[in-house]
Amino acid sequence: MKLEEKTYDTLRDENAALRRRLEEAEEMITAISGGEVDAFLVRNDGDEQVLVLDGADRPYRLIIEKMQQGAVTLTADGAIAYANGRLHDLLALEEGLLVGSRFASHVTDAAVPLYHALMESARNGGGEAELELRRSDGSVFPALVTSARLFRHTEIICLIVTDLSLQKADRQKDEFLAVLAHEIRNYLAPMRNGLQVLNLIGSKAEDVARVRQMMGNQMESLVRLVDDLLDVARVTQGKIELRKERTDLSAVVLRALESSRHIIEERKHQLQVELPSEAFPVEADLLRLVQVLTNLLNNAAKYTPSGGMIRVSVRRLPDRPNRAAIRVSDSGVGIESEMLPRVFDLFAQAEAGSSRAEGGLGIGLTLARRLAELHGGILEAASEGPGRGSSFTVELPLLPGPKADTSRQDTSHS
Amino acid sequence: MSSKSEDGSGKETELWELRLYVAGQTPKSLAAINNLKRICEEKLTGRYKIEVLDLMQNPKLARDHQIVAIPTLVKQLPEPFRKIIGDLSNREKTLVGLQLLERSEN
Repeated sequence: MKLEEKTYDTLRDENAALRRRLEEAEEMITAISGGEVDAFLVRNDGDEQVLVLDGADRPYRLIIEKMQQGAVTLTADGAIAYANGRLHDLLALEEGLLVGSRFASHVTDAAVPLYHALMESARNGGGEAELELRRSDGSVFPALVTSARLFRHTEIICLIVTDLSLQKADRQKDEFLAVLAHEIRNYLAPMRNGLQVLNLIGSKAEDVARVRQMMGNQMESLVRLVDDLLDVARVTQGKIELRKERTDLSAVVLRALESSRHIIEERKHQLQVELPSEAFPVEADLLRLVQVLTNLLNNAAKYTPSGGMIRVSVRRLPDRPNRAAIRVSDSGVGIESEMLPRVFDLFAQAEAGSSRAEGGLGIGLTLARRLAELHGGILEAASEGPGRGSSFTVELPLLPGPKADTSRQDTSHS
Repeated sequence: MSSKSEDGSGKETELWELRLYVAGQTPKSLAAINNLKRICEEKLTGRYKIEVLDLMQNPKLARDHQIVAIPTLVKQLPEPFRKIIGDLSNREKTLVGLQLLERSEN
């Protein structure tokens, strides 16, 4: 009887324990199916490891997707396994296009050795380097790239990419200001000298006239520089208002030639002008369009050694007859190919100016391009290289010919 | 130091020792920490101790209590020992599990 009781007690305890374990298992299944857990502890070979359910890392993914740096993980052979949205933006690629490509293919050739060194330092823990990266449109930007190895036992490497364009633009602005100060001083110094000379020589008529003429020229140049600067600022801030009216392109060219005649003659350039026989009507602010061409002509005169050749032509685009091209070409110093896309960049010019004998800020070109764009046109530069001249082409949409009135009647309701 | 709970809901003076197993900062782990703190502040003011163990940093810590799913709460004191699996978002279930509330009959 006692034995039976013991057996009964044992069975009851066992039953309670089993029930408890069953309850626990049931609770676990309820918690899992109810989505209340998002990680599991797994054991293999006596070693515990936490496995996290997909989605549990979503908050971090969100942070990484939204952060202002590009983030990327690379496989051991340098292929992109993951890239965040920001990196796609930085490289001007559609979301998802980066995965599988090699990170090295987005690095400029010149920066590839630096990149390999960076990867090497990543394998030893981490490092950082300033690399030039290439966007999908071919343009290039500076970036600070920080590398780190993701896990201790894998070869996965993680890169953080910080766009340095803004810092660089800032640097360029500083350089621009420095060159600008020099330019202004260059105009002011002769004027100050002139005043001293005037004080010294008293009133000998012919000398006074010569000095006054010189001072007047310097003053004109200075005023033009400051005016251009103000105009660029106005255009950039969208504060410029065009008074557009129907204008003939030949009239624009003639007006511009008139105001540039002085500098072209002074530098003894030959001038060849080719105007169309028919009218090329555009809707334009005459003064502003003249300003575009004057800037191009002055630029050609300035960057061509004395006695050069300047050609101006106005033609219809062969493939797009509703657009006209005004081309100003010269036999001057030309432009290096890597500088070509940047000649219209206000702040890049100052940087290059130091290597160019003529110096100058190129404000006129920046302004010309922006004004051309305000007219629905484009302004582009071409050059076969240093010493081989340059040409600048303004493309503008033409207004329909005199037929415009009749076509309007055709479409009106009867 | 341990005093036995006799009526299941616990005496007003006994100390509650709770251990919460989490996996880094996964959403359910963070939710469990918050839910547990809220319940303790409300029901056990001034007489509870929560120990949060991060298994992501040290998975071996799970050996004490045979943890499988995370987060899991372990009530070490007062007895009886109890395990509650999940993020503790179901308030009633959690209170019943901690024996702070009688199981409702339905």
